[in-house]
Amino acid sequence: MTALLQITHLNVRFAGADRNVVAVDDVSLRINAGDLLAGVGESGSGKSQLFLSCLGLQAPSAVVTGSVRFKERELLGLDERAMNRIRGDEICFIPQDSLSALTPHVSIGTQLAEIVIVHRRCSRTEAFARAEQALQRVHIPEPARRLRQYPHELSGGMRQRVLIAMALLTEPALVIADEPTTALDVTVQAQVLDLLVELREQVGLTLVLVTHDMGVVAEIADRVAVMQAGRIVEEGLGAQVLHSPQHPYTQHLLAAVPQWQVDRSQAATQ
Amino acid sequence: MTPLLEVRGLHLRYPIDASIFSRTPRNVAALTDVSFVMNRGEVLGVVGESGCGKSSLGKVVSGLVEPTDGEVLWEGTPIGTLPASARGDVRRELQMVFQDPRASLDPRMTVGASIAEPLVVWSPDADTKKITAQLLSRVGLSEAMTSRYPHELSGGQCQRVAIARAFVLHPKLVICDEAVSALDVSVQAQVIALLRELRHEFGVGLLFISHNLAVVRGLSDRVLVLYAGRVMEIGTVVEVMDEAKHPYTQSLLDAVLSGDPARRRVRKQSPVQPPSLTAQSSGCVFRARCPMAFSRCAEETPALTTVSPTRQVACHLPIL
Repeated sequence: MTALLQITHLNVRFAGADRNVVAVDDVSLRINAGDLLAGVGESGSGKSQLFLSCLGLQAPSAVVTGSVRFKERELLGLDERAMNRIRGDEICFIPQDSLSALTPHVSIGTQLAEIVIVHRRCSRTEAFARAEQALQRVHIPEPARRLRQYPHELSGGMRQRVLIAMALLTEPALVIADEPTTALDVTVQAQVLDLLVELREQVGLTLVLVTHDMGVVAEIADRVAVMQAGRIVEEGLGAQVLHSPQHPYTQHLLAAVPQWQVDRSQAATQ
Repeated sequence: MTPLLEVRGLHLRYPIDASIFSRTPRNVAALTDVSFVMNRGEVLGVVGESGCGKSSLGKVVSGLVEPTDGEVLWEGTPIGTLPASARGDVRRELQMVFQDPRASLDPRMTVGASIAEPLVVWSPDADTKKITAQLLSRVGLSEAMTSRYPHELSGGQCQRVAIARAFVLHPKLVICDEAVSALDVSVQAQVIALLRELRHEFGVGLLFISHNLAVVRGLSDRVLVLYAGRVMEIGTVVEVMDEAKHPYTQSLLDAVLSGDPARRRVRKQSPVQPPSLTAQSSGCVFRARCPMAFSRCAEETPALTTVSPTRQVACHLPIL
């Protein structure tokens, strides 16, 4: 089977005044159709840069080398026009901050419909109908009313659902979600995770989840890639990596997760 | 013995102007009838979803916001009746650590100056240099940090400085409002460990506000659960988190991720709506989301009832 996304020897560097900063250091990673892969690591580990650069969304000052092949087609070096045809169509991105990801003065409906119009060249009416369906699919109550609302009128959890609906509009082959639940409450986080799992079963979504939350990883990921200082230090099946981590950094990350079963006797005698 | 802090029937309402034509002023009820007691050296965790009033509670207790109704008693004395001069003494013993350490430190003050500032105000004779150095090393920062500015520090280091500043006057109570939420997991674990050590060393009480139940569980003696500005349940950590009696507490606990792929949650579908804080309706605020709600829940607001010597629950039908 060929990979859906094959990243080979990818490097992302930022040229500084006195030294170069290497954000992604010789990373190779394969994502098959139907995978749910979690990229984990702490702030600055390069996990966001890795996937942003696959989409050509890196900062202008970044130098990206290596190879990113999507459906056997090289993405690095594609011009903006060709890239735009893939982005938002075949590969979609769900950003972390739902308030800054949506345009504040444009209604939810217009923002969703725009994507359908651009990528599917259909009428405005049809685009709005598709947008309403998309909101329904992510379980947003009263979708018709939501289409007329503006981002600030929705709660964080609802906005996150809108972003997920947005990413699914064009039925992409691959969705990359950058910390989709980090800004949410526990109860809302649980709902959004449930939704992602449900959509994955329904529409056969291939999902890459960038997160620093090991709880989220344990909850939904099949495969895990642990990043530290721009490198993938450990990769494997979710249960394998979480139950018997091999790399010291993975062990360190897991040990830092606040445990539910705390040794309270020890805490009390200190 | 008088408790360190007692909060009695606290109400906090913010007026909102829906329309200049509306006759009756509308309010957002951030806190409604909140009462609890904290003893010396105790850690009380406050949990709930965003908008439930956790931070409002911290602000009222610290005196940053005046309550609409009710009173805060500091060692038996109502803070509201104290003259301005005596209020200062309370502030000295009651410090705060905020969520965003970069925002709570003055960007133009060095780390040393930030930590020493409370000393300069309260005990001008103290050897500020020595105390600052001691405290810096105690929170795990090197003495060289004294002359650094906040922008030169990482988020975790900034939070350590904010903690050092809060502890410099040996307060009796420190209010931590989401103090570890903005930190990476490994840094978070270190800061929690530091707070746990300092708590025993200084014999200080913590009002630990957080949405992270696992963090609260690891640090607190007792837990208070807030929903829509009301206390749903209060009790010891074991009581509230292992034998929750309120359905809301249970729904919070159900949402906690186990961190173990072998023990994933049971999936639920219906999205929940946040509670309305403006509706002046009667009945239980949680009833719209409650799986066990019945007719009485719509008619009568459940009172916070003592069910064991250490625990109170506000529910008509507590889980047995």
